[in-house]
Amino acid sequence: MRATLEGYSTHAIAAKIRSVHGNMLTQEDFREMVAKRSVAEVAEYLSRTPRYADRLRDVDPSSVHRGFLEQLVQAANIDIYGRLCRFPGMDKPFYKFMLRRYECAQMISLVNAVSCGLQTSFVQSLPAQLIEHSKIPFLELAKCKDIDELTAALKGTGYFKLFKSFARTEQGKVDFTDAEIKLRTDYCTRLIEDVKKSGFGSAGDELLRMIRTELDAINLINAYRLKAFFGYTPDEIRRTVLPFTHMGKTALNRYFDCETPAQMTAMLMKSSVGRYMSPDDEDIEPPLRRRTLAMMEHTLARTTSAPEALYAFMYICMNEVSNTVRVIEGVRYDVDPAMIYKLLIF
Amino acid sequence: MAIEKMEFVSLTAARDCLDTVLEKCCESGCFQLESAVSSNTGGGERALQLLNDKNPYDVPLKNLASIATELDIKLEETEYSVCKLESGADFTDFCDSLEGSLAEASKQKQAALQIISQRKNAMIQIKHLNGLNEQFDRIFSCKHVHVRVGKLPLESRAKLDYYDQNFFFVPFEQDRNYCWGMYFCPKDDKELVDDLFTSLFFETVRIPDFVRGNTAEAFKLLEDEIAEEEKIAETADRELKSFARIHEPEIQRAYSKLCHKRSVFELRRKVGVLRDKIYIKGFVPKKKHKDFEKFFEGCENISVTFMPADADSSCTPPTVLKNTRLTRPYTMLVEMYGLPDYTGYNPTAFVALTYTLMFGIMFGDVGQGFIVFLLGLIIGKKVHKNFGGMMTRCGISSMLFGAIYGSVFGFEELLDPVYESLGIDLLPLHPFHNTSFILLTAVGIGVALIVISMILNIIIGFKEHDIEKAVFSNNGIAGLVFYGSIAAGVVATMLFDVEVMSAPFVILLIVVPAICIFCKVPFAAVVKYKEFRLSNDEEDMTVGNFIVENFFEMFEYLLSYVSNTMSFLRVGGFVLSHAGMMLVVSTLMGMVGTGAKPAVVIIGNAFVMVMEGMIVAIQIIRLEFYEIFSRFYSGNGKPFEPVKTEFSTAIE
Repeated sequence: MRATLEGYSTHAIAAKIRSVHGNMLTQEDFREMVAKRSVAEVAEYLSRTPRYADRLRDVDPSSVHRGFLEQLVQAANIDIYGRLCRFPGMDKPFYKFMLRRYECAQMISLVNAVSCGLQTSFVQSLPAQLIEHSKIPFLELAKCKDIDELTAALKGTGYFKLFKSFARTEQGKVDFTDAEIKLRTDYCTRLIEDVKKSGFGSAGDELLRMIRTELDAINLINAYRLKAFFGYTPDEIRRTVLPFTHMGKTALNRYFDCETPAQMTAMLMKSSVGRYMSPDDEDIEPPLRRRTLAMMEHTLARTTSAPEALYAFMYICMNEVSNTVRVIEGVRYDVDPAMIYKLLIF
Repeated sequence: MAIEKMEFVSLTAARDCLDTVLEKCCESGCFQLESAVSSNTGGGERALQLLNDKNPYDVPLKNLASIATELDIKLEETEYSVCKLESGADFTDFCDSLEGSLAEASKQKQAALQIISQRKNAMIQIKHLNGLNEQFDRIFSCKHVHVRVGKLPLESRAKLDYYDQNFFFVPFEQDRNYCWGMYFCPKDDKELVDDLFTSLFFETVRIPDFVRGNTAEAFKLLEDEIAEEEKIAETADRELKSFARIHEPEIQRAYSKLCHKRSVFELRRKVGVLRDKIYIKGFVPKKKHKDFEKFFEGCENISVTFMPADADSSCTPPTVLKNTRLTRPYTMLVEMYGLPDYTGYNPTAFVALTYTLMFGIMFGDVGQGFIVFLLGLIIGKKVHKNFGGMMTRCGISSMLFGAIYGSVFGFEELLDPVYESLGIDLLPLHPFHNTSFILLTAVGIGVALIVISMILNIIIGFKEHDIEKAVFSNNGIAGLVFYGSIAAGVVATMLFDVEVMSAPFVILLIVVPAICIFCKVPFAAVVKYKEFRLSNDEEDMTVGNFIVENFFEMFEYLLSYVSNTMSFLRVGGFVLSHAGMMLVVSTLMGMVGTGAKPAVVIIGNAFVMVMEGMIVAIQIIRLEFYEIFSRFYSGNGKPFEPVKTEFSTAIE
């Protein structure tokens, strides 16, 4: 009986998520926004959309700062996430994935800031909701002068061991790439464990498939960048990838073993990603992101399971925010509207 | 029941008579002005040019409208014969004199309103600083302390604790996104702290110099100032009102005359000029020939020439539908679809007949028809003449068919004794007892109307010398034979059990016409130009393309024959639906007590009349436009719009 009720509840949440999805910006909205001539016009436009109207209600579009507008747009995502997680039954560990994701991103940023003495910039860009909701005292941590002090300050948290394991350079500084991979791997490991522990049944399997497919895309994008811009060898690339995959290690290795980025692109063209590729794409990132977005949208459209719907929806929201930020920045720096539009992922 | 005959009119006059000629054209009320030159291609002084002078009445019109708004005068069209103003300069002087007289009061009012607006804006700003008990001017005049008032995003507020710079932030009030307050720092650290707050998206609010005292005192002072300025504005307003009372008639007259002058001047854009002569052309209904001529009698420098409507190939004559009293209200429907060409066919009579007939069939009830008739008379007199006219005619038709159905306000047996006493056995024709007959008759009416539409198309096609349209098209002779033969074949086989679908019948009356429709373009080209071509437009049309294109077209024609015919089933459907709805009313009546019965009858009938009346009216328009008009009629005509001056208070 309880299982049946839970089933209905999860259906209702999925339906609710789909209805919220209906408020999101359309391609037509983006077409109109890229044609705007100032950030104020974009802000004014956004404040009239159901998606951002609430967040931008008290903001004066004519005087709002670009950076603050971007923060507000990002905050809208956290608002939605918070509202959706307040539904009954949304208290399983998995549903904290967005908070962990933000924490992971801020931790990476913090390591970089502390290593380079950019703590002030870190504080400025730190989302206020994270200060409020996270158990990690980011503001206190930002006062640390170096990585050792930071590691010591993390004693008693789950991050302490991880920070201790960061590789060091010959000068004794922390190896930032290693730190980033370890932090991301930790986030992914916990996410996958949470899915397994939460007892979602077949929905959990589907969720794992989605997460691993998303990670495949991230690994391929990173591999391409390392190959194209830093000249990494296949073995060096293999050491940087996140150890999760849906397509399989053999398939991934085939991409990593490509001699040139062009070969990697050609190989991808022949795969299922091929139909998301366009001649305008400068590298493999846009088609891979388009494919992931399509998968998330497909999942959201057909699923009746709340965890799947929430995960897919939050991905779509993050993509939309990233598009919106691109538009705001493009308009601010007078980039040609067609060029801005080309950079957006739909 | 045709189209009004027109005459092409050419007016030539000396240039100094221009205004007189245009004024007379407007006065006549029957002259449609056409552009004297079809395209201004240049040609210098020796070619006819269009006048393109700047309208000198534009500026005074705007000024006068703005003065009227300022004086709160509602502009209305007024008789202006006593107004002596003529030229644009006269009107400008008039406006200047008015502005001069009301300048002082207006200035006072504007200044007061501006101060009120400033003070109100300041109040909005300092509203957020509630709780500040220190004098604003004292705070801002600190020698060693730098102060800024403004709003800080809440996101940034939480981060202030992180910074250990030499400053402190005093919050006053917060809304969903911002915290209003002020920060203080030593003047030496001003730049550093300002940068820090800027990076946290702090928005500075400038407190105007006129704001004095602490927040509460400032509020009080501002409120007092606003009250004082409001008094000044009221005094100025009273002065303006008394000025308006004195000058309103004069302003109304001047504005009406100005509108007239401006409209007449606008007509110049269609006037041709060659040296000192002006040339105007247009159309006048033939029956107004003498009336129009009279306007120019005795004018020596003006020559008026009347010619046949098609005398100038660059001007399309306008269409005025000529209808009898009986059919005139239905002009509304024809105009809604589009007027016919000047040389085309006026379908108003056909629409009047079919619309009235179908309305009667679908909405047959003696009592309700009578109400529609009465309503039509009232609406025709008070609201809309044509709409009322249509309602009266439809009401009569509804009464006639209601008599056939034996229905009076939904009482289906009320007329039975009448028919019995008259010995008419066939009537009344109760819809529920004759369902098949009604539906088949509806389809029969549809077939008849489609056939009539095709015949009209054939006649129009021959009149226009369009062989393709008249003979080979799906609505031409080929289509008529094809559709008629199939309809006749189906009726004979299914209703009368006569087997007419023999091989010669099929080949000659169905297959051959179908081939003619399929190959209408090449066949028409052979007949008309004695040459073979597959397309009228594309020279390189291949046989393959031709077959594919015409196969789909043919498929669409066949589908439209069937769907258009079946569409008329709705005529029968509504007969049944009307009877059904009235049955519901009578059932409800049977369920209530005797006292409530009249109320049920009245409410039920009113409901059915409003709802079904509207649906039936709309459905018939649909049948007329889609099933009938699409077969023979193209509304490409140009409406007749005689020149006139317009009074308007909307300034561009």
